[in-house]
Amino acid sequence: MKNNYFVSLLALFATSLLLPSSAAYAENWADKVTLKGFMSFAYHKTNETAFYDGEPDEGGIDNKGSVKGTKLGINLTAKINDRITLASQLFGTAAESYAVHVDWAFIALNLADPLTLRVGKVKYPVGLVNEYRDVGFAYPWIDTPSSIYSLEAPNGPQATRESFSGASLLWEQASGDMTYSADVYAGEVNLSGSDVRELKGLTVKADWDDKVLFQASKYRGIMANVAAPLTAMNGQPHEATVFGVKVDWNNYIVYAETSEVTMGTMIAMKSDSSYATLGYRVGKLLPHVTLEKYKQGNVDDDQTITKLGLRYDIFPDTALKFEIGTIKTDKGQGLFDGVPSKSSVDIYGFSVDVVF
Amino acid sequence: MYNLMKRKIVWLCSSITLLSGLIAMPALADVAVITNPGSGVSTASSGDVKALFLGKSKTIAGKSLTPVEQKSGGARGSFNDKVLGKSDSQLKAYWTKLLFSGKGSPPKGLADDAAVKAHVAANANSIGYIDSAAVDGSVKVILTVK
Repeated sequence: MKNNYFVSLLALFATSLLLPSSAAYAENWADKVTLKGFMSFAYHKTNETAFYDGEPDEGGIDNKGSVKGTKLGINLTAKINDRITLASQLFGTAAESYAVHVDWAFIALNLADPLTLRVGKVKYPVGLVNEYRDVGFAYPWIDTPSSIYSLEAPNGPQATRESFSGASLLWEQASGDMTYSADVYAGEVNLSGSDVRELKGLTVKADWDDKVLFQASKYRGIMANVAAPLTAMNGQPHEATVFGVKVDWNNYIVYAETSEVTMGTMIAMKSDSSYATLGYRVGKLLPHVTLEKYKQGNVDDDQTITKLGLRYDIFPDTALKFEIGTIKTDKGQGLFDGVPSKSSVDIYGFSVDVVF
Repeated sequence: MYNLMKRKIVWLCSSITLLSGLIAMPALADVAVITNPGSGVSTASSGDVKALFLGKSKTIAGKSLTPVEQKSGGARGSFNDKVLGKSDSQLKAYWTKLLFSGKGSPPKGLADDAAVKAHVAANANSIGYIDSAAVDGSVKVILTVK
């Protein structure tokens, strides 16, 4: 979603930092502003003509191969004072011809040591990695597992979304090596052809020293402005429950999540998804295997994915990744943009992920 | 022939074990966690300091403190290992996730012991860490980690 106003505002803000000024002024801003970025070059290919996980013009993968998963983000954080922070991220992808938009932007008000109020455009706190889903360097895979994180499912409900506009009240309390958090949020999602109104949700986490993380999310909203042919979804309550666990302990890496999504009483728009990733870190190498399952409604629209991947941290800020896998659709189309010509589709890809 | 080969293998294994031991166990300096003498904080636990430097807390003993870290050097390695319990790569992964979700930024990085000491001495609400041998009267030690 493009937002030229935000882009202009942030560009003006960034430019102002470059204006000639006194040394004291510059030092003051250098202390308050953090500018960071990330980029991923990604290539994917399948042996199937039907696009997987996306529309043809938005980065779906087919047998011609694609670098549309390539993406770039710039993160700007300004600490206004001890209690107020402005955080934002500009983002562009090859699939959208690098049209820059505001991925998220919010004002964070620290009400008390463990309590922060965020208002603005906030990343969906649903899914273990959704809040940094575009930063390939931050996770093992080339892209987040599509059974939970797909945003392009043309025929199915989504467990999570990019972001919402509204407010989030985040409580986070450390106790020894444990950190507990609860994120209560409300707002709305405005997308082309599909809105979620009256969104309310809760995400709770228990984190043991960044080694073991348990996360549970529940949200509810009302679908609106859904375009044809799915207008029957308008006014339907949209609910999702997502559980996840992440382990990074003694070189073992585990990610596992499961979700259930409903659209009111529309059985055909109910989905159950899950995946599990197991890896073992050997120095700079992280080989891993992922099993995914996506099941939608009562139309036998099942899909399973098996992937083998390898991450190589070639530099402290750079990772190379390679993946091969198989997508099996029993009868339906799964997350393909149409029924594939074969029930077992091969997929492979590689990426270069950088943070700077 | 067999015994010669066996001796060579034993020698090789012993050498590798000795070398890896030397490489794996560099001498880690004692680290002093310091604040401004006027901070109002007299002592802190390792857990308090860890929570503050990982952005999980903003206060120690009810006093708001802003951490500064070292970009490199022996004190950084010792602090990360003994207090934060993380390697450099684990710490980078930790901050990458927080930074790009807008939930936190790593502490400001300063060059060395002298820069951290000067910064803390000049800023009432700052907290940093330096090699304990570099401590002087311009700062107050609230925790020593051996």
